Amino acid sequence: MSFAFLRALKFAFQDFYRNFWLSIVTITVLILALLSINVLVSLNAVSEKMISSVKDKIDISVFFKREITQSKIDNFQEKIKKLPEVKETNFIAKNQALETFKLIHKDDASIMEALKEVEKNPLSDALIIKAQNTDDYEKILNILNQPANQEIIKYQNFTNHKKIIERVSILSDKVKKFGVGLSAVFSLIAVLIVFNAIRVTIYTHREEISVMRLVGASNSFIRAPFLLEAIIYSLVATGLTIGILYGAFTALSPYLGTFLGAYDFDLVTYYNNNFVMIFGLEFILAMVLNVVSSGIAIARYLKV
Amino acid sequence: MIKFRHATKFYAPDTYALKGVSLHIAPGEFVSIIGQSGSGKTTLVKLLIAEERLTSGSVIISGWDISNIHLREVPILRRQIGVIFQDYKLLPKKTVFENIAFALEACGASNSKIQKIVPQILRVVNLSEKTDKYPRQLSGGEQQRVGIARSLIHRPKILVADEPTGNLDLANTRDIIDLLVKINELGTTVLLVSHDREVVNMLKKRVVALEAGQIVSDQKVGRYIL
Repeated sequence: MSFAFLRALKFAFQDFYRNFWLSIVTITVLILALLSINVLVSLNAVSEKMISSVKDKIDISVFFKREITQSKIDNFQEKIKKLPEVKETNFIAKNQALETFKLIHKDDASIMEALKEVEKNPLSDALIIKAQNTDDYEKILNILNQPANQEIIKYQNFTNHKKIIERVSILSDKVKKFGVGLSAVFSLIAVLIVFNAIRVTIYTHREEISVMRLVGASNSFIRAPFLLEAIIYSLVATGLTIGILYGAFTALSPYLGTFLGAYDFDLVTYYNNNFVMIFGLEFILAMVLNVVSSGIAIARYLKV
Repeated sequence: MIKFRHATKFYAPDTYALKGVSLHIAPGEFVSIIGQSGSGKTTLVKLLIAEERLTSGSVIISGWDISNIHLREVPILRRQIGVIFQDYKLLPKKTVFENIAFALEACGASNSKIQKIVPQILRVVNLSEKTDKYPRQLSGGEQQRVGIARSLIHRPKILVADEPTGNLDLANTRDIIDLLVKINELGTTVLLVSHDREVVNMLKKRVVALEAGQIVSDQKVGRYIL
């Protein structure tokens, strides 16, 4: 088995470099297909990050009535925190809020003057609530609107965000659907191009395949080197795609940084974190596609 | 050794390549099959190596009825019959050595056996100097000698030569025919398919003539009579 495998591997490498230009053309087609898929992967990653950033900015601010004691607020916070729809809560004491307010408006004389006029801290204690999903805000608001809770709440501001949430939800759904559709079309094109490239490669070998049959080679003996060569094509193409992508990211990072800076997103980090998943999957896909295409193409010429 | 019994090969819609051919070739014989284009000579060769299947009748080689041979058994059959083709059928991306070694590699011979046998056969066909050349770097005669070396590498009991001198000049033709005679003298049954009058007459061996898919003459020491 290993002896036959080594022999097939030798033939595969021999054929790879003795048909160098044909190998280069096949690999180039594979690289272009893989690159187009990676452009899609990157676009999906960026759009997901943008949507999640917008979603992250959404929260409910609950302002408490001034007379409510800290222990009641603590109890309330505990109760809210335990809700399955709630991701996190953040309590902001009114003094802290005032300090922040002063810091933000330190250059605005009229506001600072107004604060002095009021003398007392006009702000309330507040609780910032973030939900697990944008859909959950509706449920949390219903809970906040229960009479027992309304007793301690002065007001909550969320209504302003409601439209944004709806829009973001719709947009994110559309982006996802569009992404899936585009991926399907891209993948289909890539599959057809690769399938055809492999068919052309095998077609150039059709005479050889029939000669091999005529001198007594079994089908598996003829097929094995071609299938191994298909794996070599996939491996080299995936390796070169990785090199080209990382090269492109490095060259484009200043521009991408400007574009994505506000979202704290770096494509290199994204690819590093998902390296095995992305490229492993791409290699397996390319390999399966190549091997199947080769197998189908060879079968036609093995009937001698 | 080789028996054709009422061998018929029909191509739809209305062509008979062979029509009820019965032929017996004994071990060690040298038989020339002659006939004009379309007489069924090549079909006869294709039936012998299972490149084509009979419509009716049977083909028996060394007791093995290959009329309904399974696709998986075809390589086994072809390893027992050496075949020389008019267009040489060499692998263009393999060297002379590799072309000959391929036939051995295909049946799982060890590297040490290949390293031992291939140079021996290259000496027999006088190509020891061309071991590392590719087919495109050889003359027609040299390419045909590589083809002969490859066909002999399994030490087959039967050698089928389908118009082996069709693309060669007179000098190379003589070389190739001399080589075939020598191979025959060493005990191999040789079946030569040819439409070259000179070659057949020079041999003074058994001649079977085909016409329109039927045997029209079978002479023990024959001449090209068509």
